[in-house]
Amino acid sequence: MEGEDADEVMHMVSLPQEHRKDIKSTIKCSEDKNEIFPNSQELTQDPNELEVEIIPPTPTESNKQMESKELNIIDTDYSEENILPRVNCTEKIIICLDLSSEMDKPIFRARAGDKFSPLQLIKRALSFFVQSKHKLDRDHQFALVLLHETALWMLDFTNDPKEITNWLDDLNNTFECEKFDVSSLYELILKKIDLPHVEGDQTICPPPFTVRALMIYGRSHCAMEFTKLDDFKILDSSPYFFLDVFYIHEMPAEDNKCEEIYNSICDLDTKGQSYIFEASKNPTKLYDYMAQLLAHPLQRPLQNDSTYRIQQGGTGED
Amino acid sequence: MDKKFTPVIDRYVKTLLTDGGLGICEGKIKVSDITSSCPSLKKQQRSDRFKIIIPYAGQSLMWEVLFDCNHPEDPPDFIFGADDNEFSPSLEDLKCLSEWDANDPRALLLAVEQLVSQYGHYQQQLVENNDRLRFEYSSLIDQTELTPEDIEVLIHRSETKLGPVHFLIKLNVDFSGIPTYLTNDNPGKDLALLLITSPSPESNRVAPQLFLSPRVEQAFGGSANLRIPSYPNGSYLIDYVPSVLQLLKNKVEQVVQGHEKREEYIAAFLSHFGKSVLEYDAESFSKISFLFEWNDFFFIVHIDLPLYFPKESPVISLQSVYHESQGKPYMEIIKEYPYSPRWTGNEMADRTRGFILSIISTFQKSSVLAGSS
Repeated sequence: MEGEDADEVMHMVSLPQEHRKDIKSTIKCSEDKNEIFPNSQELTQDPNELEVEIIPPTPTESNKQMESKELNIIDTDYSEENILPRVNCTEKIIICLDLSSEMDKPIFRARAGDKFSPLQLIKRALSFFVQSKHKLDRDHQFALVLLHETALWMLDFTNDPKEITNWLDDLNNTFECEKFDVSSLYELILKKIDLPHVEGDQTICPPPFTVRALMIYGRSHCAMEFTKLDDFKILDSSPYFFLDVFYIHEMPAEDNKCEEIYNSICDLDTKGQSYIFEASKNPTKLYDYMAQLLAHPLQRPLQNDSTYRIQQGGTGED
Repeated sequence: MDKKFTPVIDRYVKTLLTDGGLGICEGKIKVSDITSSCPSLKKQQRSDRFKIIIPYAGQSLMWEVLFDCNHPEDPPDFIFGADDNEFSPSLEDLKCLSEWDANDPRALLLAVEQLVSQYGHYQQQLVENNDRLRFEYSSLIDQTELTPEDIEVLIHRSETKLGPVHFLIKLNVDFSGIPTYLTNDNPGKDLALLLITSPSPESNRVAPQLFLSPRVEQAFGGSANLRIPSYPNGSYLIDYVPSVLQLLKNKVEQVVQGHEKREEYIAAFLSHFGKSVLEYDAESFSKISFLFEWNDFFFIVHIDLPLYFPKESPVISLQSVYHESQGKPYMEIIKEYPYSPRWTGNEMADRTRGFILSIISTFQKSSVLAGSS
């Protein structure tokens, strides 16, 4: 029995090649480096940094490029599966915040030279997030989960952003963690939430609410474990459950597990509907991505298709 | 003290309270001042007398109903208001009383309905007997779509004069086109009533009042949005009533149109900027928000569409994703921008983009400034 489970786990974690979003290959694949390194907000243009540092564009975009070059496989058009009505129903957003001690390391550096830890920046970015989300719709609700070696439920759903920000303000303790069991998060969510059932025609009838787990994971040295598949499968099979991930990490290197972790994060996105971001070093990008996470899962484009440049032509020039 | 009716009478009263919906306002009847004609030494009183309050022409008629607790199967007596000494319908016209069916729980309700109908005839006589009032009434009936069922008149009479005069007019407006989400919280009726009160038939101090059922009021966005013109001096109902009716029809038209226009606006903005959308109101099309980037500066645009769009312009606000002011994300509401209600949704989208581009640099600077203070 144990062996079978392990096999399943293995199979799940290592999907066929075409779904893997390999960080390293993006440097080769991306055509326009200027797009990766925006001029105004970037740090010192150290040529060494340019080679080692990896700030890929959105993962599925790199996926596309990799596929077309290496494997010649047609990019899966996820937009035709799982069609849901584009209704701005109430969102129940579970903020899953990593509190491992790595979140305290000052890996972010502003242009002026100030250093920041992920926790400092994320606390501020989350404050923006909940307040902005509240402005978009006062009915949206937020809950708080903390990630140590497993997931711990901290704050029940509230639509008052102040409750979240007050709680975050007092949050300063991080913990040394040797592992993280991501399936504990799914187990916890399933225990705490009754997902809406599909009523009538799924493509027309809107659900009373959707559930979005917004996971902020900040470890470069601690890979994700997946011990149980059941709860993941149940949540994953619901059309009204969404997972978005913000991965914060050091520069990928030989002595850390960034790439492996990033891959396992991407593996969690089985339907292609998640928004997955990763950030390292540049504080501005952290806020940019947090803003992109505001989009309602039923109304936002696939991450692949999202674009924000306001000028036509998209060259970045007036 | 337990003011309980004897069971027979209790049935009549209950039916009166639950099923009674009289007149053009379809108002409920109220019961008060319950007493007994035969106070007994027993603990439980056997009440058999009470007053009923009937809505009529925007006023309340108060009549007394007198049963006999010793003969509860007998029809009751009625005493009308002091002003209506001359109201004495004949029993021939009151079948419900002359052929009182004690076993029918609706007996009292039917009797009251018949009496109110007779009361209407009586009031009609008063109208006929006054030249001015007769003219006012008949011109409404003859020259508009109003029927006698749409009008209730109440004329107070005293020894010396006629008045005040109340005309309650049901305005037949088709509210069916109003989108249902606007009336979701109020499943009741669509009703618009115009009450016109005058101290006397000849007076110039005429006071009009418009009553909308909660459902209609909600559809119009609240009572503040619907003001009727004051009654012009020397005017007649035949001039005034149609103008109010037209006003209501226009309002419905605006609300219906507003919905269609907002839908068009949202569709146009989605076609221009759909890949940057954060959220939008997919039911009433009242708001949409985008995330934009200009020179690596990300910012949020909120757009609120008013009920009476396009006559009223959308409200545009810009919000920072980096900087706070007083603990909240920095935000600016745009007070003025180029706008014309005649533009198509597409044109509005283009112009809005152009406008935002023209102010974004300034916004960025203000945002940074706010964040550093």
